[in-house]
Amino acid sequence: MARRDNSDPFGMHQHQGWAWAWPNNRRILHNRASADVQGKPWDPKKRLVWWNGKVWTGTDVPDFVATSAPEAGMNPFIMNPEGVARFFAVDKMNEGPFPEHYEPFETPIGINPLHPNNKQATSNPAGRVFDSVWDTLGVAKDFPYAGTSYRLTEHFHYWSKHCTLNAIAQPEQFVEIGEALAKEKGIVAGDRVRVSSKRGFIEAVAVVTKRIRPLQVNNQVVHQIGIPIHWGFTGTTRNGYLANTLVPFLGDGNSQTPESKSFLVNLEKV
Amino acid sequence: MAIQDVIARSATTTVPSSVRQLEEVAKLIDTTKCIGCKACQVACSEWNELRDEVGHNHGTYDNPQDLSAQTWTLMRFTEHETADNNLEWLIRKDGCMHCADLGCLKACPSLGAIIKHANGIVDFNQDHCIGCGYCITGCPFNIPRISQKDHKAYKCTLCSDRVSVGLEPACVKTCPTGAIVFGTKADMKTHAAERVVDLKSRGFENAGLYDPAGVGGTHVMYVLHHADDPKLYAGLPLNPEISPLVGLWKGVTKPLGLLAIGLAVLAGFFHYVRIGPQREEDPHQHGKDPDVHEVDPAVHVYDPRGAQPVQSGPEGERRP
Repeated sequence: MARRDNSDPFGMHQHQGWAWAWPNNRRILHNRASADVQGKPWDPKKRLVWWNGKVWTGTDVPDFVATSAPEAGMNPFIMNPEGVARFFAVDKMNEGPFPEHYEPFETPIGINPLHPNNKQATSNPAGRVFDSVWDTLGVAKDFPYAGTSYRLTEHFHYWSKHCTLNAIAQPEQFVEIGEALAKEKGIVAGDRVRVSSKRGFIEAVAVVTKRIRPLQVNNQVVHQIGIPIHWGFTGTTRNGYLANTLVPFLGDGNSQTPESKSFLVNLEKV
Repeated sequence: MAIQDVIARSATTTVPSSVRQLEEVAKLIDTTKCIGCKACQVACSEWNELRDEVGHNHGTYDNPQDLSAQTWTLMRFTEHETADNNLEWLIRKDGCMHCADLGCLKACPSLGAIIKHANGIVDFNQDHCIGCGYCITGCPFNIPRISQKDHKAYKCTLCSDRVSVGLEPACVKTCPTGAIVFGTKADMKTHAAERVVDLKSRGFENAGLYDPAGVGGTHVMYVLHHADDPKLYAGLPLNPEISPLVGLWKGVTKPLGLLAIGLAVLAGFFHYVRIGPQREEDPHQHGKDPDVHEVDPAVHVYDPRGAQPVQSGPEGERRP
């Protein structure tokens, strides 16, 4: 492999010859901010770029117009029109300029603890929800557990279940549940369980794990259920159910990404 | 299989003289860097053309469930809660340890079915394997498996075919985190020592190298966060030793048995010389009554009165 020079000429873990960083092999963005107005590093131990009288140079590739002298007064945040950092997002986020916490549309605790009395601020008011979707959303009374879907290292989406070696490494659909919930439900590792949301259900083998612990949210215990997605349709693996049957048809307020990481499910032993 | 480098063979004490002087090699598996991706498992299957059956999930991440003739290496996952309630996911790549003192080779009764190379690699030669399974009994790590198809024993070869031409084993080549490294045993020990210093500086006071002396050291070694308690890693033995039965069988019983066979042969020889062969007496040679006329039943008798040939026999016989 090329670019395997791990030398560190400045003794500050800046390995410019090791691999490559986008863009321009620049390791730290806005690194002009590490120097003061005159172009001298604020902290000699953390010096990234400095003005040597003619040009910007340093331990990193300058994220700056390299020939722009400090006297020219150019600001370090070159990607912002005002040239300085922002504490809020002017006009770029649909839900407003400041960071805010919203509950998922299917929330296990029912309210937004930051705004317990404002029903309209429970979930993201800018989220994309079609009118027909509201009826498909469950509530914590019927579906008390927080489901989340994810992928496994052994598989790639719904493709690699057709490959024998991947199928051998992870052959059958499973869901992960914490030890506390498993005990409560009388489930032991290897049992078949049914996970259902208001939109459908899947059946899979239960993997009981210490890695998923109950959350304490708003003085409530919230159990999570982990749902790897790679099964459904047919393949070289054992047949399974489509995990996305469980997922609500919702889009994020900015990216329109489906809300498949947080939804409500129920769990039963089959 | 590099036959010219064999320094020990099963079921014989004769050692073929090795042509080359080879340095001992070792694979070092750093469990503290392992992320459990199973890439080594897949690479092993790819290189060695192994395809195990598509099994089932039995409530764990481990798959396949166990080593087999088609699975020579396997990730074993253990969730370990430390005394201070910290959760550690201990993942160990299981497979042949390529011991220096070989339980499998000692237990094997078939000549040359198990061989040890000068670089420390232990190989099974399936052409000579008789499928008795003694190697499994002899192995302190419970590694070899008998194929249900050809009834021969299989296990990790440390990719001896790759190593003999200067390549690293397939699992080493594929490991994305550098948790598996390969080189001379001396270099691997040096590397491990550096890792242990680093781990100790990060609060793993019991970090250490697993290179158990009970089997003379191994050519597959582990760096463990908890070297004081390797049992945590899916039952890795603290002090692995070759089963005393193998020692008894091959150590004491075998020469005694050979001695007994030799003595029996010797006793037979002297008995023959001193007393001679036993002669069984034939009852037909003595006690035969010369007055009894015996008819040869094969002879046909002609009776002129009946004008018919009469076949002789116990009942059809007629005297003239």
